[in-house]
Amino acid sequence: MTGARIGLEVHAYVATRAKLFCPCDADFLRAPRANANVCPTCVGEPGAKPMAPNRAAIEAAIALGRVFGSRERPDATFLRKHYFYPDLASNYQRTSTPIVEGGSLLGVRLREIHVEEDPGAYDLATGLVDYNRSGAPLLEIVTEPDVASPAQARAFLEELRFVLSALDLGRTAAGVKADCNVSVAGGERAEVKNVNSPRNVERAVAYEVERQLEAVARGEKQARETRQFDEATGRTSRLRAKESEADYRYFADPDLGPIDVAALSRALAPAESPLARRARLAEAAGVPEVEVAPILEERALADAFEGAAARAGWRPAYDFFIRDLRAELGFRGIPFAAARVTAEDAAALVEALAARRVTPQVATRLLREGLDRGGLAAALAAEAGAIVVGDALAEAARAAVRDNPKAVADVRAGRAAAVNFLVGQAMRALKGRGDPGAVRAAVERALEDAS
Amino acid sequence: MSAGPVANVERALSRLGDDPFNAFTHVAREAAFERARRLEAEGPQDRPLWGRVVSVKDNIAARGMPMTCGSRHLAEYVAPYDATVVARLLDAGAIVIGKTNMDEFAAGSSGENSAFGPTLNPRDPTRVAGGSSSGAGASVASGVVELALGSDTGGSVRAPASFCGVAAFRPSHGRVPRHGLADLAMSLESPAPIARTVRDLAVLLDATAGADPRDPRTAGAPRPRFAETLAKPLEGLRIGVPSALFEGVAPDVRGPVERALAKLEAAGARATPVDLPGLAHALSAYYVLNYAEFASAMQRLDGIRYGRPGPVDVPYEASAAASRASFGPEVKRRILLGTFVTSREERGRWYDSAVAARGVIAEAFARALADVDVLVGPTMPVRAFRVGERVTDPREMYAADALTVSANLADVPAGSVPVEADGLPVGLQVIGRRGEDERALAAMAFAERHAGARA
Repeated sequence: MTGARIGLEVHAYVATRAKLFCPCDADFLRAPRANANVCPTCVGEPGAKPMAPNRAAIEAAIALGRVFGSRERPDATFLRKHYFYPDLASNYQRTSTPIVEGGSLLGVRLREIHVEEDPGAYDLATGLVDYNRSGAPLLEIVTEPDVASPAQARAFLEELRFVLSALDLGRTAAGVKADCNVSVAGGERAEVKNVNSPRNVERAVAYEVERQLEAVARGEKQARETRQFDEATGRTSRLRAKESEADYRYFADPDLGPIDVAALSRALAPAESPLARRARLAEAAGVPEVEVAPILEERALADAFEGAAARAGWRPAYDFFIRDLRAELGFRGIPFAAARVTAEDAAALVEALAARRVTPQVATRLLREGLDRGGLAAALAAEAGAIVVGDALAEAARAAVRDNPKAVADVRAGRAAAVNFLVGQAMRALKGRGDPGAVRAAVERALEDAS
Repeated sequence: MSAGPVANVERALSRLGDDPFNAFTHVAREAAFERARRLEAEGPQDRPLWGRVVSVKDNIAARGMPMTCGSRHLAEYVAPYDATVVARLLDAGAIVIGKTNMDEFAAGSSGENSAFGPTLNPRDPTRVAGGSSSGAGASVASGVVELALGSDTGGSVRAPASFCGVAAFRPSHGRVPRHGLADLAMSLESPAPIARTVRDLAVLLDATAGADPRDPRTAGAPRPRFAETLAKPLEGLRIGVPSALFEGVAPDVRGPVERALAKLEAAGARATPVDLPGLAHALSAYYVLNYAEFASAMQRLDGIRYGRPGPVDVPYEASAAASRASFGPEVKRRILLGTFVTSREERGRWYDSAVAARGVIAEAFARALADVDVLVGPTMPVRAFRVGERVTDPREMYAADALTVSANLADVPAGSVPVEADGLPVGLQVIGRRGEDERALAAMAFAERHAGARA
C-alpha cells in the first residue's frame, strides 16, 4: 500500500520451570515478594558461574523453529552483550547466537530465533532492583522486513502468540513485546522499541508509517533512529540516533560451551504443528479455524478435546469445550493441566451429554463441582440415568403452570417468551434433571390441559 | 605432621605471628578454632584433609569471609556462598585459616598490585613473592600452611611458587570447578593449588577436581586420580626441551634448570629438543584476551550491588563512574585496553587476531607434545626481583609472564617445582598434554625427587 517495510523483533518469555542459567524459579509473576527467587548466579555475585543453559529454553527455540520451517544452526553459542544498567546483574547479558534460521509464518520470513536471559526489574522511582526476573529465559524472534501493513504486523504477532501458546512455550500472562523496524519508500528506518501487545504494535506501526510518509512528502531528510511508543497518545517519539547506540562488545561467553542444537533436536520428539492441528480440528468440528483456536491454546486442553471427540463426536465435544470448559477454566484462572477435572472426566461428561444421560444444566453443575472439589467421575456415575421422564416430568410441568398464574396469563396474552420462564421453573423443580426439549413439551401440554 | 586439628591451627597462627610478609588479607582466627574443635570432636571419619589447615586466595568465595580480590573496591564485600573448591575442601575436613593477599583482581605478576600492600617474599623480604597468588605462595613458603588454594590465569600460582621455592600446579580447564572464583579472564583461569610438596598438590587436586553442575566447563570431567598416579612408578619419562622456553632467561635461572635437566636424564628420563614455534606471539595474544575478558568481568562492579557505592543523588552512569574510580591503575589500564580491543572498530585487529593466535599456539603445543610426555623449562625467566623494581613499566612486568602464559593459552596442565639453586629459589616448569593432568603431576614428582631443592 505505502511501500512500508516492517520487520519485527519479538521478545517472548519461555514458560520454563527454572531460569536459564540457575535452578531458581523462573515464574517471576508468581513470586511471593521481590528478590524471592534469586541465587548467587542470577544476582551476579562475584565468582558465581552460570550453569549449563536450561535445555527446555533451547528446545523451545527448536520447537518454534519447526513451526516456522526453520533450519537449525550447528554452531550456536552464548555471547556476552555488554552495557551498563542497574537491572543487569553482571552488566552483561548472556544472549545466544541464532538457534534456528529461516522459514516463515503467515508469509512473513523469519530471520532467526535466539535465546537470552532477562535482566531484573529496576524501579526508577525508588531505585530498587527486583532480580526475580533476572535470568528468566526469553526467546527473541526476528523477522525479515516482510510485513507490509500495521494490520499484518498485528496478525503476525497474534499468530505467533497462538503458536507459542499451543506449544505450551509462552509465559502468556507476561505478554510478548516487539521492537518494530519501520521504513517507507524514500525514507530511513526507525526502530520503535518495546511495544507491548499486538494491538499496540498495530497502532505504533500505523503512526510510524504515517509519520514517515508525511516527512517524505515534505521532503525532509530522514536519519536512522530509535523511537519509543506512548500508549496513551498512540504516538512515537525520538529516543536517540542510531549512531549514538552503545557498542555491545559481543564475544563468546568463556563460562559456557557451545550449544549442541543438533543433539537437543534429535532428542525432541516431532510433534504436529499447531497450525496443522488447528486446521484439522476445525475441519473435523465443522467450524472456522479461528473458532477452534481457543481450545488449542493449551496443549492438554486440545488433547482432551480430541479424546472427548473420539468418544462422543466432534460437535458435542466442541460445544462443551468451547462454551463450558473454557469459560469455567477462565473463571478460575487455571490451565486445564492444573484442573481437578481430567481428560477422562471431560470425555465421560461429553459422552453422557451426547447420549442424553445428563442434561446440559446438570453437566454444568457437575463440571463446576468437579473443578472446585474434584470427584467428577463419581458424581457423574451417580447422576447418569437420573433424567426425569413420564409422570414426574408431567407433574413438575403442571405444578409450574399451577403456581405461576401471572406467567400463564402472559402466555395467553401472546408473550411467547413467558413459556421459557415456566420451563425454567419446571426444570428447577426437577433440579435440572429434565431433558430441555421434553420439559418444554410437558409445559406446553400442561398449558393446553389448563386452558 | 598432623598433631590434631586444634594443634594445627595453633601452630599456623603462631607461625603467622603478625603476618610479616603481608600474606593474608583476612585471618579467620575464631572460625578456624571453632571448626578445629568440632573436627577434633568428630574424628577423621575418612576425611583425607581432616584437620589440615589451608589458606584460600582472596578471589575465591568462602562463605562469611571477606572476598576483597585485593581491591579497595571490594573491601567491604563478604562472600555469601562457598566456591565449589572451598566446599569440597571443607567436605574433606580442611580448616580455612584465612584469605590470602593478591594482586588487585589478579591483575599482576609480582604481588605488588594489591590495595592492601605488596606481599613480601619469605626467602628475602626485600623481594616480591610473585603473583598474582602472592599471599598463597608466601603462606606456604613461610610455613604458616602446607596447603594453599590459589588461581592461575597466566602463571598466577607458578610465579609465586618459583619465586618462593614451593610447588604449584595449573590444571587443564574443566578439571577443577571455577564456581566461586572471581573472574579475571575466565577462558584462561582455574583454581590452582600451591603446596610444599607435589604429594600435597595431589591431595589438594584429588579433593577439589571433578565435575560440578555449577561450572558447565567441567561437564564430563573424569574422577581425579592424582595421589593414585603418584603412587605408581614412573618409568621412561620422555621430556621435550623447547629452546623457545629458554629465550631471554637470566643465567642464574638457566644454569640451575639445565643442571636439573641433567639430573633427570641421569635418573632415567629421556630428554630431546622439540620445536615450539609461535611462542613469540603468546604474550601479546594472552594479554589481549586477558584484557578483553577482564573488562567484561569488571562490568558488574558498578557500586550498585558490588563495589564501593557511588553517590546516590546523581544519574546511574555518573554514580557507576564515580564508584569505579577507586580501581587501582593496573586494573584501570586493563579495563580501558579490554574495552578498546573488543570495540566494533578494533576487535578484528586485536581480539579476533588473539583468538586466532591462541588456536595456533594450542596446535604448536599439541605437536610439541606429540612424542614426549612433558615439556620442561624454567618457570620464570628471572629470580624474585626487588619490591618496586619493575612497577613503573608494565611491559617489563608483563615480560615476567613470558614462559607461563602459553600453557593457559594452549590449555595444557603446567606446574612448577623448586630445583636446587644457590640463594633465591628457581622453579622448573613442567607442561603436560591437555587433560593428562595426572601424568604431568607425576612428572613433577619425578623432578622433585631427582632434582628438587632441599626444603
